[in-house]
This record gives sequence, C-alpha cells and structure tokens, in this order.
Amino acid sequence: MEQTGSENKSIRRIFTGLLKDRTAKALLLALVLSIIMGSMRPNENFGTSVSAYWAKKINWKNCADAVLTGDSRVLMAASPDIMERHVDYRNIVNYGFAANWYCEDYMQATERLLEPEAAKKAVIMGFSPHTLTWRAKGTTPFLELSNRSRINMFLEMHAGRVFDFLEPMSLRDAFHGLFPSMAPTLTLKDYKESGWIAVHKARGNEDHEVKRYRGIYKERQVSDKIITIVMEYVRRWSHSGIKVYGFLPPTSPDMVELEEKASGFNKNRFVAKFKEAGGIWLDVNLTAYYSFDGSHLQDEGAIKFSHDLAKMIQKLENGSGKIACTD
Amino acid sequence: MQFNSIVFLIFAILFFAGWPVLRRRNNVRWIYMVFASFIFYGWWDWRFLFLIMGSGFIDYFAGLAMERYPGRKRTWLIMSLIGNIGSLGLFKYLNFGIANANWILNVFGQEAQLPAANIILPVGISFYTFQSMSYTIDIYRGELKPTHNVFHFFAYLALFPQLVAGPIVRARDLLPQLESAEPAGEQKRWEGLNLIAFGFFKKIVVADTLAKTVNPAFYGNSLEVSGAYWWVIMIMFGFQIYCDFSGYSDIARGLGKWMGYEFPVNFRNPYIASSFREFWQRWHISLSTWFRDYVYIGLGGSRKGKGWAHINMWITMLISGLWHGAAWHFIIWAVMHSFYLSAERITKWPERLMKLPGGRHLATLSVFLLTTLAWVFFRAQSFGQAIGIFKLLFNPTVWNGYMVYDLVGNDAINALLVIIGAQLFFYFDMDKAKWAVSTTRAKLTMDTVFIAVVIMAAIFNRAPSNTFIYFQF
Repeated sequence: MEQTGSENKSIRRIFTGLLKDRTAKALLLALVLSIIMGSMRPNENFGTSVSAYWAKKINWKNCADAVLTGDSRVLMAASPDIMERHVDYRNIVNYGFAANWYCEDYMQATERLLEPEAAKKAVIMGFSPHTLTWRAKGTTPFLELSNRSRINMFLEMHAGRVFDFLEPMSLRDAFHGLFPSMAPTLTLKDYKESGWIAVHKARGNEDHEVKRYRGIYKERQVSDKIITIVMEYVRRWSHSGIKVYGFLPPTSPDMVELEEKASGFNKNRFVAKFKEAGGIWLDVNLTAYYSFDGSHLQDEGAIKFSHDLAKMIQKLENGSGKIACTD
Repeated sequence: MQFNSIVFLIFAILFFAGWPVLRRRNNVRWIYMVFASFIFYGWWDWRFLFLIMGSGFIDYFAGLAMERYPGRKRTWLIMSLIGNIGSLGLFKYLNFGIANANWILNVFGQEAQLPAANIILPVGISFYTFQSMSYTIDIYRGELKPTHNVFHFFAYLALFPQLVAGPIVRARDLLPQLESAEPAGEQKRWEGLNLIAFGFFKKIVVADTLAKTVNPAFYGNSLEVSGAYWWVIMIMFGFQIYCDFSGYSDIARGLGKWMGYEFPVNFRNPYIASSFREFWQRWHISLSTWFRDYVYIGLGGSRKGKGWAHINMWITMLISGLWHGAAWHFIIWAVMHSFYLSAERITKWPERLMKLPGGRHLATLSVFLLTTLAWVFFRAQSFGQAIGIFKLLFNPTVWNGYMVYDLVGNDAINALLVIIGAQLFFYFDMDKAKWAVSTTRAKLTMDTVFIAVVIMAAIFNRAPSNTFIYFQF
C-alpha cells in the first residue's frame, strides 16, 4: 500500500511538473489545436485513405494484366472495375498520376506492373498533349512519390488516416469544413483500390483548368523527345506480345480547342507513328462526356467513358472490325 | 536524414527518450551521441560514414601528434590540411577541375576530352571538413588542447543537429560543453522549442512555399517573360534561401539546447543590414567568422595596409564562393560581394547615406537590392541563364505585368509578406519594445499560445517538402 502511495505521488509530481513547464504546455496546446484544426477539414475524400492510396499505388508490381496509363485525365476518367465487366482482362489497374508525363521512369514502372505470368497483357495509354511535354527537372507527383523513403511509404500505407488528418490545409478550408454550406465549391473524391479516382463536383462548376493550361502551353510544348521515348516502348511492348492501345482522354470542348491550337500536338502525325510502332489507336469522342472543371471527367461521365473504352477494346480483341466512337 | 522528415521525427523521439537517462553516465553519453550521429548521417548513405571517420581520424591523430611532438607541429598541421582539402578537392572540385581543363584544351585546339569522374558529393562535406580543420588549426595555434578520447572527438565532429549544414562549431566552444551532464533547464527547453518551432516554420512553410514558385522559374525556358517577373522571383529566392538555411540553423540550435548545449547564432536578420559589412556580420555568421579567423587573418588581414586588406578580403570571398559550390557562377557571386565590400570600404556610402533623412531605410533597401542581384548568379542553373536574367532585370522594354499577376495570385506572395513583415518587426526594434520583453503572466501565456499556433501552422500550412538548399554544400 505504502509503495503504491509513493508511486502515485511521483506520477503526480511528474504531471504537476509537466503542467508547470512552458515547453510541455505549448506542445500540449499545439496538439489540441492540431486535433481541432484537423477535425475541421472538409469531408471531401472517400474510399481508401488518400496517403495509403498513393503509397500503395506507387508500390504496385506484377499485379495487373492490363494497365491504364496517363495523367489526371486518365486517373479520373477510367474505372478498371467497370472496364473489367466488358473485357477479357481480369486485373486492370488505373496507373494515372496527376500532372504526369511519359518519362522513362514512368514507362519502366508501367512495365513492372504487368504480371509476367498473365496469359495476355495490355497497356492502355491515354495521351493528353500535356503527358507529352518535357519537364527537365520539374518534380511531378509520380517522381516525388517514387523518391519517397521506404519507411515513409510503410507508415503511409499503415497509418494513412493519420497522414490524411495532418495533410496541409488553409484556414479557409477549416472554415468551410465547419460551415460546408458556405463553401463555394464542393468536390467529392472517391479513391478506389483499382487506382481510379471518381470525382463528383457537387457545387461550383468552373472551367478554370482551361486558363491554367493556356499558361502551361505558353511555357512548354509537346516534345519530340518524349514521343520518341513513347514509341520505343510501344514498339518493344508490341513485339513482346503486349497489346498497346492509345487514345486521347476526353475533356471539355474548350480544352480540345486550346490543345489543338496551343500545345504543339499534331494528332495525325502522332497516331501514324503510334500505329507504325505497333500500337492500336482508339478513336474516342473527345467531347461526349461531362467535365467538371474544363479538363477532367465527372464520375458519371467517367463511368460512361469506361464502358465505351472497354467495349471498343473488346470489339477489337474479338476481331469485330471497325470501332465506333461511342456507344 | 532530413529534419523535415518522418524518419527524423521518429529518430528525435527515440533519441530524446534515451537522452535524459544516458547523458548522466559519462562514457555512455559520448558513445550514445556518436552512435546516434552516425545513424543520422549514415541514413543518407552509410558508405560515407567511412569518409567522415577517415577525415576525422586524420585530424584526431594530427592533434595528438602536435601535442606529443611540438617541434613538428607544422608538419602535422600540413598533413591534416592536405587530408581535409584533399578530400574536399576529390569529392567536390574534381569534376570542376576536369571541366575547366577540357575547356582550356579546347581553346588550344585539343579535341581529346578528359572524362568526368563519377563521384557523388557527400552531404555536408564542406561543413564537417571545416569543423575538423578548425580543430587542428586551433591546436597548432595553441588555442586548444587535443582530446585524448576518440569518442569525445567524434561527438564534437559529428554531433547530429549541426553535422550536415552547420552552424560550424569550434572545438574550443563545444568540447567543454559536451563534458557536462547537466540536463537542459526549463528556460533552455523553452528557448529550444522556440527555435525549433520557428525553424520549421521558416523552412516548411515559408521557404518551401516560395520554392514552389521559384524553382520552376529556373527550370523552364521562361526567360522571355518580363523583368518585373524576375525581380519578384529573385526577391522570393532571397527569402527562400534565407528561411531555408536559417531555418535549419534554428532547428539545429534548438535541438542543441534540448540536449543542454549552445551552438552559435548563425543568422541575425541579414536583410535588415544597412551595409555589406553588416550583412556579412548577420549572414551565415559561423562560416564568415571561420573564414575571417582562419583565412583572412591567416593571410595577414589588414595588418599590411589598406591595399592588402582589400586583396585579402577578395581572396577570402573568392574561396568562400568556391566553398558554396564548384561552379563559376558561385565565383561570380563572390566577386560581386567582394566588389560591394571594397566599394563600401572606399566610398563609405552607407555612412554618408545614413546622415540624410530616411538614409538608413535607403541604405538598407540598397543593400537588399544589390544582394538580390548577386543571388542571380548564386541561383542560376548556368552562367548563360544568369546573364539572361540580368538582361531582363535591367531591360525596361520588357517591364510588363505578364506572369506577375500569376505570382500575386498564389501562396508564395503570402509567404513573402509574412517573412517581410517579420523582418520589419526586427528592423524597427519591435522585439525590444516594452511589451515584447515583458515577463508578466499574461505575456508568458500569450507566448505559449503563440508558439502552439506556430507549430500548428507549420503542420497544416507546410508546402511539399524540399531538401535543404545548403545540404549540397
């Protein structure tokens, strides 16, 4: 009894000491404030934890018989789950990354995703003109994720919710989290295990991406260097028996117009090279699906597009000849 | 290991969990410090631990030899310097030398090219090499007694908070402190927390936010945009590098305080300096004083007259430029600062200007803008890019608002305003105001809340992480 009493006293002394210590008080207060702040984050993300989603995605290996590649336009436009209903491929993954470009590292990573034992394999490549622009040393999310340490990846995979909670946010975000009805925009994102991000813009439709891309294409144009890299891989994959499909991801009419005029992308020449390298080109109706921001597809549009894309591939694989633009 | 990483957070928690207990045992303390520091450094690339150990052993034994054979002190010092400068030369300057040799061969019509050496630059090599050199030079000068315990030496050389990016600490200042087993008192812990919180804020909120705008400007081929755009970018870079580097130093000093040790102040709000002399008394102080004590004074300083003082200052500054990097644009940056310092010594323009009404503000602004111009050469990817930027900065025909509007619309401007506001706070001595130095209960509570808010802001307002700029040096 006496011993327990003295233990209690010393524990109390430690706590009293801590409460008197300014450093401990400030750290405690910072913890409380951070919990409050994190709790006010607008509830916009669903599905897998965002941190775990990216950590897992960048570590995928030998896990698919068909891989969808490209930038955010593919990332948000193609649902592997829906496509699997219409094609013979059983493990399709969406390997799109935001602001992505077809650099060597990305092509190699794509190759590593294909299961070596799969009976048939395919790479389905989405080419927005932006994926063909050269960014010498600029860091994109794919490269940044590839360079993360293993321990970081491990923690993000297993404690993703904690990382999501501590993700950067502004005071404005916190205010909108507290009063959601006052937020001018509301974008709901569902992070799927298959790699697709289903986006639903519930409020605040804008075409702001068109303006942003106008600036981007002033800075950089579609590069022959990237096209050469792409064609090398298309040729290699085709020769090794992998089906390589190519398509332009659908977007808004304004973006289509901008990219035709300002990106330096010559579709006819590119398609000819792609076919010459052994690729199979899919002619997609670029403006048949609803875009929520002038660039990316809303979830309903993405579902419809995934159906259409899968059916086009299946028709080709069944040898039924001509491909329709959309069904 | 970087301070702004999860790995470091785990490392620091583990280290400081063991520190209060292990520091009390004398031998264990030294081993613990060395072991933790080697893990910290080896996390980046364990192979380079052999380099730091090799370089350290040379100086450790050179120190002992100087004590044992005082008649051959000079020989041992030369051996130590050859070891240190040799390792720097090999890892940092070999490729620079090869590139210049190839250029000279080309000038003389020789087509044969020497192949570049495939060498990785070890993180922080310039910092720990200089720290190690100061040890043997101080022993040579009779200002320090060598330590006989190898763990003591490596605890000084490799102490993790300041190992890779300073402040550069002198053995005579740090070794006696490391002897102490006294725990950090409440005041020291509080000061440490302040430094760590502000250090992280400077780095991950201000510097990294500015980096998002500054870095792409130099990557792309965007030199056709306006001069106004490049002025904004260069001012942003000035604050980016300041917050990046001083942030690191603050965190290092804060961690030192939590261990119970004091590292020297490395930055004292350099952009509020109203002369270049003052600027260099406020910027990277531990390096400036190192060069002053071991190079400038070693060369004779101002003892041989004004002319020699200028020459010695130029030599010191040029070596300082090379210290920052093996490239011509760093040397040009150093030339510009040497010119600024010489012109200031001869004309005494800041003192004259300060006699005029508002002269101090004008002098501070002039020093800031001239420093910003010198940063062009420091930051540019190449000499050609630097010249291109320079032309734009002074070409009034391209002074349109193109792209500047984009800069105003992003977070970088907010970060810039925050740091400029903080500089003005010190410029107008508000840190010395009665309310700022008050120790009333209300003020202390306010300080506690303020620090908690700074920590929260560092967590939620951080930008995507970037490597500390000075790691490359």
